[in-house]
Amino acid sequence: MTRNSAKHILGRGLAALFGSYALAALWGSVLAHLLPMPRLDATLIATILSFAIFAGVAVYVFAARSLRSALAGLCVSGVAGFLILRVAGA
Amino acid sequence: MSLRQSQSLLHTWSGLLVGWILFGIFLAGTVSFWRDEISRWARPELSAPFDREAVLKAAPAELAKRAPGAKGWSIDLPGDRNSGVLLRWQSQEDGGRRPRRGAGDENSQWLDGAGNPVVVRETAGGDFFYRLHFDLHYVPVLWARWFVGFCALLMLVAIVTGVITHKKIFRDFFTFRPGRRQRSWLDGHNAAAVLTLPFHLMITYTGLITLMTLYMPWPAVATYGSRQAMIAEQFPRPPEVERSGKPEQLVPLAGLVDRAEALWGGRAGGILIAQPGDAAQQVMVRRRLADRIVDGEQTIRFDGSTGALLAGPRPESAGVVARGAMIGLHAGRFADTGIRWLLFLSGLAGTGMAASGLILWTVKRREKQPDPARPPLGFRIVERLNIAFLAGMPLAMTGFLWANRLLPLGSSARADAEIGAMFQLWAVAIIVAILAPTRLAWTMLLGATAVSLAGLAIADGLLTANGLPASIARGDWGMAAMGAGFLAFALLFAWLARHAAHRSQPAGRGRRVPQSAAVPAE
Amino acid sequence: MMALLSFLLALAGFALMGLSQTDHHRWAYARAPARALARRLRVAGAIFVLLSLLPAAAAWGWAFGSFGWFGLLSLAAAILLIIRTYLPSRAARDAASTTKKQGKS
Repeated sequence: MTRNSAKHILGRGLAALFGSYALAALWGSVLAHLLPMPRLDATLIATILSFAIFAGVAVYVFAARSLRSALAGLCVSGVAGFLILRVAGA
Repeated sequence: MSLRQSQSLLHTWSGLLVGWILFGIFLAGTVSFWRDEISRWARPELSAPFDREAVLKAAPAELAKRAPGAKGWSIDLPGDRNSGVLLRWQSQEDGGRRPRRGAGDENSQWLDGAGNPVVVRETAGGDFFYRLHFDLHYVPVLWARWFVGFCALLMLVAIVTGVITHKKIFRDFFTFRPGRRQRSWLDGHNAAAVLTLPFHLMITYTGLITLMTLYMPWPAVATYGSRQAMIAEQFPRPPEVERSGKPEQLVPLAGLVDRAEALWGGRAGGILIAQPGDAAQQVMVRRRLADRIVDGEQTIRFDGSTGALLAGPRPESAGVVARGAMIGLHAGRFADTGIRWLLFLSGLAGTGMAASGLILWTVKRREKQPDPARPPLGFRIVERLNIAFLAGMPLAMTGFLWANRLLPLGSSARADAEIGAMFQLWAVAIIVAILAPTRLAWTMLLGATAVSLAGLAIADGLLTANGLPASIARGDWGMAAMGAGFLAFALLFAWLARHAAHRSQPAGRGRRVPQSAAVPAE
Repeated sequence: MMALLSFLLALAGFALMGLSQTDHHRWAYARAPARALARRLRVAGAIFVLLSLLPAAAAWGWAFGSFGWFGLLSLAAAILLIIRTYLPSRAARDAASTTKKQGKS
């Protein structure tokens, strides 16, 4: 897959779009559990921060060396977040 | 691919995918900073200055005359930038919690600032452009908000990647080189984006926050089980007031409003009366949103029969304040005239940023084309969409304003017809954008916008009391600014149209200078 | 009044920071700045820009003031951009006055 090929851009684009949203939702939920404040405030502030997470992950997906390494990073972050969420939410 | 290149790629694609909608959102949103002034312009029947004592006496009297057994009465008090008072009422059968909002509601009555009932033309006024920028139109509201949110997410990515990819962001800070086509468009795009960067970042991020629970309900689902459960805690609702059947006089509102304003250290924005005329009646006074940055009504509840205080303003916790502050920053209701002008100019810069980015895309690719006489399909689509939106939408917006002046005052569904006029004019503009040779299309649409805007100013001067000279004489700076604004933007569009007409003229700084093409007329 | 002071301080600050850059210094003075001078201009400019926050806070309060401050900064930067773009450079002005002198004599 060449650097500027349509397939490459589409791949990165979809990975960025879905991956960023998924990780923002996941880590936003983690934050909502972990922030040391009453539940409503923690949830509101976590939601506010989640959009910054979205933007950051999108930047990462395009900055990563290859689409494969970007997807690997998304997976690692996703699994870690999921595990923390299971523990924190229990 | 280097970091800069990768971010440049993401920047271009995120911008191009939704650039036209972003332009529309910026244009309608920027104009909405003058929402109250546009509403005032659209309702010239309401001109008397606001007299609080008179209104607080007249409003319940008028409501008692029009809707004596109503389930609820609503009184919208004016702020510093308008003077009309909107009364609404809700019948007992109505399932809603409070009188419905919306233009063309039969259960409503305008009072002028002196408290006299006035017949006002049915219009959405400035509220139309405000709603347009997130509810769009003719589509279900939920879809529109999702789509706008999606565009806002891409806008956020475009801003961040734009900054990362801009190699000489400090060195280029004061740089603009006119007369060099692609270089000039890039300089202009950079200037519009970087000089007002704090605003763009703020308005985009806070824009997402205004509907954040819709776009990102997952944290709430994680901690509350559902979005609704969190909203129930965030906005607790007191039980609905039940009618007792025993009639009782409503206490004078002025006293309640005075006490509420003392409690807040602020001013009242509106009053809701549940089960008026009944012994169980309650009066809910809400605070003027323009009082502070944080968006929150801080409703105070009184017993409507005795005047006793039932509930003071609910305390706002950290998360509530954070969200409220971000919403307040986005809406800018707190802004005085000076700050409001800065917001408006920044919004114009944002509109120009979106427009120049889209044009830059075509200018860049036009210079790289192997056969300028036959550009690829993608390029042609972008080019036509550019004309349809960048030149078509401003023209269409003037259609709404003209309809406000021209439609017969008593016609049915008048508010909808005004809005329809905008989209009909836009449809005509789109046809021109698609069928005419590009240079001619740019010139015609931009020129028509200039004529339309100038016409509005002239029509106001000749046919209404709100024309520029009359407004200045009266000291009505809001309406004077509307007139002056029409003329100023007419000049801008005339200049842009002239630029579009001259093929060999160098591209200059500006929002919509079309490419003087190497391509012969198509 | 205070808002105007804030704006003027921002204008001066950005002007100094701009003049610290070789490109703009050449435009104004037809020569590049010495490194020490450039650094002093940059620091002085930054101080003026930061100071401009104070009269903005005095005019509007700290909350609205910090917000409005960004707007004044943008306005000041935009005006300097326009001046820098459309006023002729020092070299051009020198050349023009030389031709005028030659024309007279």
